[in-house]
Amino acid sequence: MSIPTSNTKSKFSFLLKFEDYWAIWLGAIILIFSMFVYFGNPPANMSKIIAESNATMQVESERAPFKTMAWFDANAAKTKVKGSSTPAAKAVTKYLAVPATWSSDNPLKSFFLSESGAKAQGTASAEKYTKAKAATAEAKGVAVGAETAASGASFKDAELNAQAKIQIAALQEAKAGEAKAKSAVEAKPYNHLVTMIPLMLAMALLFGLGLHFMGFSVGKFLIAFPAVFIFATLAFFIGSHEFAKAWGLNYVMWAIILGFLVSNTVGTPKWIMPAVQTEYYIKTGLVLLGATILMNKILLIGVPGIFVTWIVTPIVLITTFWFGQKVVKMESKTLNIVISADMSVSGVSAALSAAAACKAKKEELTLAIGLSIMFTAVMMVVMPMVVKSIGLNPVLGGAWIGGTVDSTGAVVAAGEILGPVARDVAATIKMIQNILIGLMAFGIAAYWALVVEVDKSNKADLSFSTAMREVWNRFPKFVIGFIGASIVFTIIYSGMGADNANVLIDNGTSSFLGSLQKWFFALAFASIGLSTNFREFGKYFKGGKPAILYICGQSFNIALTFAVAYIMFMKVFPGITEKLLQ
Amino acid sequence: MYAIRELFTIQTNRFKLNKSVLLSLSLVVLYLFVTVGLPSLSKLVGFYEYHQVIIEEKIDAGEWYYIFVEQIREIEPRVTHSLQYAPGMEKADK
Repeated sequence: MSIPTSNTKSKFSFLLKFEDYWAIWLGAIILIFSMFVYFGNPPANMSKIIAESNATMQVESERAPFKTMAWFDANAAKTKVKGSSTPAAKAVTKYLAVPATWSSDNPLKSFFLSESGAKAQGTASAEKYTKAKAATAEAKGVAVGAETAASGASFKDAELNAQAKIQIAALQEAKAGEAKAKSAVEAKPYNHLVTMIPLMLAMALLFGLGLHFMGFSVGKFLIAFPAVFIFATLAFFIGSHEFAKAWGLNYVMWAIILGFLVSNTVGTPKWIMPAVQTEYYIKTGLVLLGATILMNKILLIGVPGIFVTWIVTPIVLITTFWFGQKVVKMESKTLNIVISADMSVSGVSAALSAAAACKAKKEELTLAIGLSIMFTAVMMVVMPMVVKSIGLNPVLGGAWIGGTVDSTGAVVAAGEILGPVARDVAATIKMIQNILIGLMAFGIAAYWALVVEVDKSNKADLSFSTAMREVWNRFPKFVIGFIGASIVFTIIYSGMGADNANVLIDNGTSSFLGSLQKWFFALAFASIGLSTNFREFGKYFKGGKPAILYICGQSFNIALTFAVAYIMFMKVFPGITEKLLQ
Repeated sequence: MYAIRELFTIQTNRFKLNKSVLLSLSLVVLYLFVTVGLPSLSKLVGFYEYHQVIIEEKIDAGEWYYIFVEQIREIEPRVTHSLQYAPGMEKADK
């Protein structure tokens, strides 16, 4: 009996010896934990509120030719039901907080807000809140009058309907202003340093577990980990400055820069290096990211959304990659695909997935992300300016921005400059595009294993089984966890139904996983900075080819997205555009 | 020999010190770039007004994936409901 046991052990021991598998195991542990916390503790009256809200919206949509006040109230009531607001969820997520937003006059606010500070902030905003409440009450009075008048005419008087629509929109705006003022008044004290220490210990133990089985010294890792964690924290701190956020320069960039500064001046101390585990952090973060790639969302905005994202984006990705190889003649295929992916799909998230799938070098990932961040900072302001100046329909303008500006935050920012309709459409288009990264990563991993790596290796005749084994050996195994998590959560999402899933997944597990992922990626980018020599970048930026590729690809993306969005939203499906305009 | 060795030791130490100073200076410049440079740059290139809107709406423009963006949690149901419960219109498109 002992011999087979030993064989079985050795046969499966690889599952505990490689980073890719540990990324999957750690991801699985975290995902199971998140399901236990969120699915096991749904908000009180969840089903009742959802059912009542849906019924109200249905009745109101049939009663009036515009969204009535009751419609908006039902929408707001349903949106307020969140898995993240249960006591169990709050108890967990408070340990995942990152440094808060701060302005130049008070950097300490990023980590600490005292009781008196919170009170002072509340007092300072009290007057604004009182005014906002009065404005809402006044707007409500006017809106009620306008809606009653329209209702009195059985919603047959176009002028009264239009008037009611305007006043109800004004009421929604006033309510939003009141909510903003209220959150300032209700500021609560915090001390993020207290919650960050347990988080650091938990992450150190989690990653240390895998490293132990992989044969690394856990002791050395545990000593080094706090240093990398501090770099990640500082990166969050710098990225939380209000203007850094407005420019779209978040922790990703600062983590790399801080690491660079150390590694290229005094040099990264050797004792820190055991915790510089770039790929381990990235792969684990990507497995968690997989659980938020929910295929159920691709029809959120109907068929036009599919065309603008799932048709245009792959065309731009493949064309840009081809252009990079054949015309720009990029030196590195991996750099080419990472730039093509981040430019055409969704910035940093696509760059990370693509880089991990094709095993790109960390310098290539850094360069691609740097290009994306720089161009996005400009595009998110220039694109809405262009949309405004040519007077585009807000739905078309939003779709154009959503399909072309790289990062989701920048898309929402650009949409906000244009107005609520454009913002909502832009964000939804970008969200559908985000979902594409799962398929994209799988496609790139498969292409690299089947085509690119085969070209590199000698092409000696191999039997089919040997060839398949070779392909399997080259395939990045963590991608299985990444895609697997996506499939499992997509199935769970469907099983729950969209409304319940919105509460328990979108506003439950996804928000928990998102907070944790941010830390994993911050550790990864700090590790990149700490282990990279600045001089290495010269050879990757040779002849400015990466920038040329990005600019050419983005120009094509802008043109094609506009053309397809125009055809879909303005010509083929004007009904959807009308509904969104309401 | 002793003198030469000492000289090299001093030079090495001074070199190390210079690198530490360089790091400290770089961190100060980085901090100033964020706290003073970025707001000034916003004004300089004419983005200030737009950036103020982004700051007031508490949008983190650097967030690179949809689950990280707080506003998405309200936008998604609003869009879904707008299409699903569109008032007074045919629902044939979707």
